[in-house]
Amino acid sequence: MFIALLTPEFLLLLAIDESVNAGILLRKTLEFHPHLAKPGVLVGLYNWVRGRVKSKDVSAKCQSLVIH
Amino acid sequence: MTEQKRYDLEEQTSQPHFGLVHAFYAIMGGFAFYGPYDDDDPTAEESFFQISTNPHHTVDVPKMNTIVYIVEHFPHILTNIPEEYILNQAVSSSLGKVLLIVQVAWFCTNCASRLFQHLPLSLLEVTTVAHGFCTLIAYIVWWSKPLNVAAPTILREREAQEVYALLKCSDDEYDKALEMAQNMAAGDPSTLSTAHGSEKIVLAADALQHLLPTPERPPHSSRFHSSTRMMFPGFFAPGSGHSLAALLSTGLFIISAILYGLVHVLAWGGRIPTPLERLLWQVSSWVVTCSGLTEILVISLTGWLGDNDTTTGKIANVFRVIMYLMIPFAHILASGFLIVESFRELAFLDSAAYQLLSWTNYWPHFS
Repeated sequence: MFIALLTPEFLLLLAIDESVNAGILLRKTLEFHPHLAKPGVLVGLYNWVRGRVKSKDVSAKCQSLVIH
Repeated sequence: MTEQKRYDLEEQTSQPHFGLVHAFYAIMGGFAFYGPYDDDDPTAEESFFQISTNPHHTVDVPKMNTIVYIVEHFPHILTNIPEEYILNQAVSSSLGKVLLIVQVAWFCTNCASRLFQHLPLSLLEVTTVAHGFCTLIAYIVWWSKPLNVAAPTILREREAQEVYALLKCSDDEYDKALEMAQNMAAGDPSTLSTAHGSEKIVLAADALQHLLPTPERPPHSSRFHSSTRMMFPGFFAPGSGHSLAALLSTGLFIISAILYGLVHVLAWGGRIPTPLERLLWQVSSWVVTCSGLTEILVISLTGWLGDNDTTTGKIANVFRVIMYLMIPFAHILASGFLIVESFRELAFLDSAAYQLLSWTNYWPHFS
């Protein structure tokens, strides 16, 4: 709490450092295993609406309409 | 719903994916191993499969180089945890983040509009804008990060335990495990019993079997975070990741400190009660603005001079230690003064500071 109050830019540094590391990890993962790429939300919804994917390929939030 | 359809739905398992949520979760220490495989643990031979309250058992959080090794060779132990499960652990939702961003953006825009319309800004507003600016950027770069996760996800499946055993192997143990894995692959039945090695080596051999014929050795440097590197839940100290990230972070640290300080510099023309306080505000603003740049320059310069064993090198090392302590202390002192002064100025506010901009009522916000 005191760190956030006195040095918010240090917290920002932590956030950016973590974000850059996460980006590097994601890039390396997809370099090794391209099939693990996750479609974005818009692409996933578009594919689902067009019927290109089954419910198992979209998130649980979209499946709620299917499980009835 | 027919039984057949229900059965089909149960059969539907989502495709394994690795997105930013998984990446953030791995970096922040969300995936952890738990077990007795400590080199100096007297109970190291105890079975991993026992649920134990043994204080020698440890929760090991893999470091960046270890995570990269895992995602390269054993990605399924991470992708077995679906993204929905990770997001379910998080307390904050996208809606909460959007509300916060809208509120902070409203405040920052409001302050900018006051400047353009020549209405006075209080020092408290200036300080809050600086904080809000940092918060906005942090929330944007953390958009995919699961926030406020209280406890890591322990990887307990058989395959994860095999990988954990492999990561905890010393060089000798790795060689034994590799030999055992090669024998197992060749169909030598005598290697299937644990008589030839501890449970750790057998599990590591099972993991190595998937990587034959040319398995890559796990990273040589320390593979797990030390508990002291965790600053507070969800944060590891900077520098524990990739070297490129460390370089980028250093540059961004300088830029963010400069931007945070420059916002305070803008308040020089405000109504600061006394000349002394105005001078102190100016000095504090510059200290906050330049501290990041000065720290990096001093570390680089003294590091370069301190490499040799001459008198100059020794003086440079002493100077570096002093500056290591002085610059953060001066930064905190200056930053503390800026906050205290921004509250003190409230007692001397001009009546124009209470005037509201009419358009701000049309932007949905909490007030």
